[in-house]
Amino acid sequence: MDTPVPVRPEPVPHISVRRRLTELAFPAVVVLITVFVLAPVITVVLTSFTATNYAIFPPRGLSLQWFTRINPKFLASFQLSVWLALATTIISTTVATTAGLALVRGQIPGRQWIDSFLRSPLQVPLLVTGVAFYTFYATTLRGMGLNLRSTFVGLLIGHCVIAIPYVLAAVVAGLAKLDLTVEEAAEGLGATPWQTFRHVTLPMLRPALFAGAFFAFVTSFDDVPVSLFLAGSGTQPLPIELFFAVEYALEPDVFAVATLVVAFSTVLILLLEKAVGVRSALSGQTHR
Amino acid sequence: MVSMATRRGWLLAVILAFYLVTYVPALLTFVLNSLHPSRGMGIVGPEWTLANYAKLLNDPYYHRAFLLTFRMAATATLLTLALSYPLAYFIARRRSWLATAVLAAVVASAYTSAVVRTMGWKMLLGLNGPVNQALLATGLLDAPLKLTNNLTGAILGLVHVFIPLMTLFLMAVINNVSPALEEAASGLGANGWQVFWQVLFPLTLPGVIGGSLLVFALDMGAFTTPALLGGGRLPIISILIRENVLSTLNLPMGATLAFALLLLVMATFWLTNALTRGGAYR
Repeated sequence: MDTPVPVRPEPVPHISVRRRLTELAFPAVVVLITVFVLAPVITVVLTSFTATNYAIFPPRGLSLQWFTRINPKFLASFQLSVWLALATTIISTTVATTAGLALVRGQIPGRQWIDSFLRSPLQVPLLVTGVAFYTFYATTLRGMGLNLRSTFVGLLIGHCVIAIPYVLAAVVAGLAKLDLTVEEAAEGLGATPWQTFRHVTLPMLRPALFAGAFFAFVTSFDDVPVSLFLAGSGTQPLPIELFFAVEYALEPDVFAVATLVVAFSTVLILLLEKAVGVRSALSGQTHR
Repeated sequence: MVSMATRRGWLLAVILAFYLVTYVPALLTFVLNSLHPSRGMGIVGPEWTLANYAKLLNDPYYHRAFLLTFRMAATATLLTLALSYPLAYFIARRRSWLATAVLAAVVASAYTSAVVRTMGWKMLLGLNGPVNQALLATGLLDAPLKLTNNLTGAILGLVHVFIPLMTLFLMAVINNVSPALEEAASGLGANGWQVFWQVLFPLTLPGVIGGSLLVFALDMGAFTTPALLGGGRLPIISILIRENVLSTLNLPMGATLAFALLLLVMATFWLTNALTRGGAYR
C-alpha cells in the first residue's frame, strides 16, 4: 500500500472499546431494573416450594407440601373472588358497552359531560370509594332497612363502580377506531339496529370488549381497598384474606395460595394475548 | 340517520340509573357524614358541625400526616420515573428479544396482585432476608438495615407498584418522538448523555410531567402497599382513614380525612390536565 500511514491511529480502537462499554451499560441497567420488577413475584413462587415448616427465602429443600396444606378459608375466599369477579365482569361489560355505543354512535346532548361523569370513579382513590360505600350502606341504606354490608351484592355494587370506567374507556376507544360506513351499509341494506349490532359492530368490537372484560375481572379480583370496608365474616374475598395474613402471620401456605393466584393471572394474560394481543389491548389502557 | 342515533339515548339510561342509586349517594353520604360529630363507639351525632375540618386544619398530628403523605408520594414518584424511563426507552427504541422480554415482565408485573408483591418484598427485605445478607457480606454495614415496616418499605413498594404504569405511559410518549432527531444529534457528534439530556428529555418533558403527576396522585391515594410494607402504623392519610373508620370507629373523622384526600388527588389530576392539554404527547 502506498497510502500514507495515518498520523494518530491509536485513539480509534480506544474510542470503540469505550463506546462498546457504554453500549453494553444501558442494556445492563435495563436488565437490573427488570430484575427488580420481577423479584417479588419470583420470590413468592420459590418460597411456596419450601420443605420447611416456616416461610423462608431462599427456600430450603423442595416440596409441594404447602399446596396440599392450604387453609380451607383461602379456598372458600378464592371461590368467592372468582364468582365476584365474573359477576362484576359480566355486569360492567354489558352496562359499559351499551353506554359506550350511545356515547360514540348516538347524538346525545352534553355527551362530553356524561362521559367525564361516567369515568369519574377513576379519579376517586379506591380507599375513598370504599369509605363512601361503607358509609352509604351503614347509614342511609340501613336506615331504610336494607343491609348490604358483608353481602355479595354489596361487594358486587362497589366492584362494578370501580370496574365500569375501565370497560367504558376500552369500548369508547374501540368504537372510535371502527369504520362507521360498514354499519351504515348494513342498515342501508335493511338490517335492523339489533342485527347491525349483533352481526357487524359486535364482531369488530371484539378486541376492545376482551380488553375491557379483562380489566374489569382483574380490578375486581385484586381489589383490597374497596372490599376491606364492604366485606365481613363469610364474605371475605381472597385479597382481603391474604391482606390479613400478611398483616398478622405469614404462614407458608399463604405463599402457596399466592403462587396459585400468580398462575391464575398469568393464564388470564396469556388468554388475552391469544385473543387480541396484549400490546393492542394496552393501547386502550387507563391508569391504576 | 338522526332518528336512529337519538334512539340510542335510552342505552345510557341503565348506566346513569346505576350511578344515581349507588355511586352518587355513596359519595354524598360520606361527605355529609364528615359534617357530623362523633359520639364515640361508632355513634354519629345528628347535629351539623365543621369541627372535624377545624381539627384537620389545626391539629399538628394531621399536618404531619399530610406532610408525610406528600413526602412519601413525591419520593416514590421520582424513583418510579428514574427506573421507568430507561425501561420505556429500551422497549420503544430497541427491536430485540430482550426488549420483548422486558415488555412482558412489565405487563406481567402490572397485573400482579398488590398483596402478592408485598409478600415477596417481606421475604426479600426482612432483617435476615437476602438483601440484608448481601449488604452485610459486602462489609458496607455492621448491622442489618430496617427495610420494611417503615417509610422506606412503603416507598420501595409504591415504586414497584407504579413502574408498569409509568413505563407504558412513557413508552407512548417516546414513541411520539422521531428517532431521526436522536440519530441527527449523534451524527453531529453528541454522545449518549448529550442526546438524552439535550434532545430526548426536553421533547418528552410534557409527558414526563404528566406521567409523574398521575403517579403522584395514585401514590397519595394508595393504601394496600404502604399499609403492608409500612407496618400499618405509618401515619399517612390512607392508613389513618382505615384506622378511624374500622378501628376507632370515628366515622366522621375518617370521612373528613377521606374527603381531604379526594380533594388533593382531584387537584393533582386537574393540574395534570391543565399542564398537558395540547402538550407534545397528545
